[in-house]
Amino acid sequence: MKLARVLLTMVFVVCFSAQFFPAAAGEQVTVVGWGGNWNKAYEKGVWKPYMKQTGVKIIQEEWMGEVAKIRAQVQAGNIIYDMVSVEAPGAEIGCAEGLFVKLPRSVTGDPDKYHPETIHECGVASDTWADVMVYNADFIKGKIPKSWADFWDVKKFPGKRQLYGQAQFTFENALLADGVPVSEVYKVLRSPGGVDRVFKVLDRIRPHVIWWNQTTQAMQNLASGEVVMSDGFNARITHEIEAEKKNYVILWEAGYFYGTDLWVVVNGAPNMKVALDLLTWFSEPKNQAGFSNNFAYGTGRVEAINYVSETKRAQLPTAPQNIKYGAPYDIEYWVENKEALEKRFKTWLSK
Amino acid sequence: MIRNAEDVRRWLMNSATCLVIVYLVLPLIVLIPISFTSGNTLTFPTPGWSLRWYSEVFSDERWINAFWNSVVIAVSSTFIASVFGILAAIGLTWGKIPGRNLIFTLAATPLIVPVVIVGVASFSFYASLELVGNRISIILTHAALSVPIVLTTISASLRGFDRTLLRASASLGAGYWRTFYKVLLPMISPGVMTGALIAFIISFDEIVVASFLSIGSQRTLPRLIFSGVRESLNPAIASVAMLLIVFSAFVLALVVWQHSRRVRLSNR
Amino acid sequence: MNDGIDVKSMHDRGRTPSQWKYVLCIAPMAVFLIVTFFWPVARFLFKSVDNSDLVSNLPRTVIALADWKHTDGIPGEDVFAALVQDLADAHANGKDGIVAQKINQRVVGTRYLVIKTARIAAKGGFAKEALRENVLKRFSKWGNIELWSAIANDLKPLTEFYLLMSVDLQKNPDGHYESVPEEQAIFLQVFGRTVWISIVVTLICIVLALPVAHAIVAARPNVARVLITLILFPLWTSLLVRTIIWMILLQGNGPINSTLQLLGVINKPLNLIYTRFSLYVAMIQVLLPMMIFSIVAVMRRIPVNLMKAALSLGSPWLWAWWRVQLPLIMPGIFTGSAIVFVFALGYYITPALIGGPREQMISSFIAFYTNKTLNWGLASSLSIQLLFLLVLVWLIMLMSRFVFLKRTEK
Repeated sequence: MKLARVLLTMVFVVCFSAQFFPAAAGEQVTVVGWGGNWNKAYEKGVWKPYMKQTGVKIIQEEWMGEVAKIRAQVQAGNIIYDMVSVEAPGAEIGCAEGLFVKLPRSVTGDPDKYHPETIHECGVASDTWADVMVYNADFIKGKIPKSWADFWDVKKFPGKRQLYGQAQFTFENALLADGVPVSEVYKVLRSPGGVDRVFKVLDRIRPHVIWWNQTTQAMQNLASGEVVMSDGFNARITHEIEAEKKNYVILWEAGYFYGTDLWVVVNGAPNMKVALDLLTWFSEPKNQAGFSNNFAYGTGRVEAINYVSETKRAQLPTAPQNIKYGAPYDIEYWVENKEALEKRFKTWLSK
Repeated sequence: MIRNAEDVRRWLMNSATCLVIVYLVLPLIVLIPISFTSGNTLTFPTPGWSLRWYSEVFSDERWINAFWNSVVIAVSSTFIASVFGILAAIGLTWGKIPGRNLIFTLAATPLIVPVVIVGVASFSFYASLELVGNRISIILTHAALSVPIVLTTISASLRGFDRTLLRASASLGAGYWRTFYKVLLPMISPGVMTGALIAFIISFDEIVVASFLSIGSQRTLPRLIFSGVRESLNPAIASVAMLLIVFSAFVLALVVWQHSRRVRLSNR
Repeated sequence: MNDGIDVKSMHDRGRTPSQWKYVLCIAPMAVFLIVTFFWPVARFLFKSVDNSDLVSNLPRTVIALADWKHTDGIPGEDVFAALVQDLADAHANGKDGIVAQKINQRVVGTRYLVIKTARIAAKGGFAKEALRENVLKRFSKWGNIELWSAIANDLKPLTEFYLLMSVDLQKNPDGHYESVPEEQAIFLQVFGRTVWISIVVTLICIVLALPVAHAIVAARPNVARVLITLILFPLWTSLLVRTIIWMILLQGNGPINSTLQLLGVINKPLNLIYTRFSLYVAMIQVLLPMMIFSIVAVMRRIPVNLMKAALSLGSPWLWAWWRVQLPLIMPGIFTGSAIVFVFALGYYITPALIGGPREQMISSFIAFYTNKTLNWGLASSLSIQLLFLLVLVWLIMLMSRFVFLKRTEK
């Protein structure tokens, strides 16, 4: 294999050498986010101020969360990403595999100053999102739903509802509908029979549910009145309300769970020092707020909210007025159980 | 009476055909007005007309970068596939190789094996070679996907090739390479062209392998479209799609032109 | 004189060319395909049975558990010592995460047990004396006999675990195979769904292709050429682009819905996209041209007089078509069906973009396990299933060709 590798490399490096070696520049760092408006918000609110302050060049990339790609880079010793926003379970798995650098306190600051589950030994929250209950006020008039129990109540609120076709999110929402308080949900899930209870609750609503697969789909069904209620990611709903003038109402008070994507630094990153410096800078509440001011997702530091404008604040899952109704997704629970529960859920779904 | 039934049948057949053709082609045509919308969403009828989404595409560095990536990858993989394809087609068509059919079948497998498997497999393979994250891995995999096509089209045109021409050329004192360039290649060039164009389209269009193997800046055009679509459908996507359709119409026109030229040549 | 010799030798070369030259011509392609295609795929498929992540990181445990049976009860001191030592090493090498993942795949809910045990073991946190008791006191889950038998059952360099899982089977502690609990039996269902979708797509393609193929064959050459170009055109258009077009057309406020609303046919948008219907519409549009061309290719070789003869003998058209023409078209339908079916089986992008959760086919599960949960053993096993199906289709094709050849020989 060695010989093949040498030959292949030689032939093609000769052919395309010009493209392979980017012109050496000053200090730079490659930062990988989720693309689209998310990247734009980071660029405007966080990267630009940092670049201005330090002169470091930040190269922004986007990906779709395939931890396998980081694994491949690390195993091959050919690392392109420096700093990546990874879904929390992926960060946990990658951290245990040694794909990511363990972050010292000098970078992250005091863990007690973060919301729970927004800091990890390998990462700090890049964005804190929430899966919330929402309804379209164009189609629900008069009596309005107030809780997940109402979501499940097809007599009081006739019509189709919509849920995310995944075990995570749906399980939590089902237990909320069954009257479990947010703080107890994982206690119930971990207890014997907890998961069976979830499926019993889901059986009750099953004929009335349209399952969504992509946010685009969820928003479309909500807009057309195909469904009267849905769950969905809060920033996307806010976007529809603001940019598309939709008449959606987010029910924070129904209870919600928030999840995090974490900034991690890839082990062996070519610009490790810059990446760590950037993260140190980002760990300041003031600097984190730059993201939330441009996007309806929160960040890790509790104090960051103080630097967010008043109007934006109400849209964030981490805002004091909202977070009292919320709790974080339990990363440990889902890392251990995701494959098995996802399988069980999909089996139930296709019955 | 029979005459009448015949007409009804013909009418039914023709209208069915029209409907199917409409189903196949109309969607591509509907895209034209949508891509010229002045609105922010992909609604129809459009609120007004403008070129704004086209200019957005042409001014966005990411789209241009992705376009060039796709071109470089497609050209290189087509070249590689054509070289291997021509040689192998000569060997397989003219040689009396035992197990010839088996070799053809095996060479066709890259076309048949689901592309997800090819994507995952080449991902783990090139990762172990430290070749993930540059264009080489995508080029090589795309070339492997294109080899069967090139091999088939070239073999087809070789079968119609009169081999006494080679002897004539040799008898006139031309060497192997000269014969190859001056006699063989021009004669089989329609087959090579068709194969190469299909190979180009395969690579230019391919998304699964490209998404597994590309990291960051080697993102190809389809890959960029794909990640854009998953977030939201905006008219910029429609105008990129429109450009791609125009592009493939152009390539198809090339093929048809090649084909008619070949027909004219052989009629002479 | 000289000329004569030259020409003669050339003629000889032309007539009996040395075969090794041709072999040499084929060699580059063969080597290329082996290196860039067959080897990577084979290597990936091997992952379905590869157990080295587990075995090579637990060398002492492998030896210690060699003679253990689940009837022996919780293993003794020596096994615990071996395990603690192995996990300590694994933690030092950064492999404890992988070991934990592999064990968690077998017994769900043991990931943190393994990781925490490894951490403490690496720090020497378990007293050497009465190690077993010590570990059990800290982590009572190690007293779970099923965990031990799952590990012991699978400490071999090659494992059947993933292959079994991909067909909803598992090994019980006695080493017998059994079905997984009903609630976990997803893969055969997905497999069935994939086949079903492919079959439906193939059948609809046949029905739609037949009139078109007839029309093309019956049309004047110029018209036929136009028809073929029209059908070719979508075939040349990017699959991704065509899927996106359907997304645009079928969406809630898309052209189809708004036109119907303008015409007053409906008063609220129809739910067209993210359904089985939209998946079929998009897939068939992509695959139909191949069916049409396979049928046309065969029909062109059928003499027109046959049908005329049958009709002139007074048989009704449908009867004549059924008895005379269809058998002759059958090879084309078969080829086309094989192509359409095989391509449909591997669909990934279109269901991902245009289908709901219930439209996801086996390819999307392969991608899910590869990218998201890093369970490559399972991804590889599912791929083997899919390839197995392809080989099956191919064999049917071979057999059917044999049947058709025989029939035409008669």
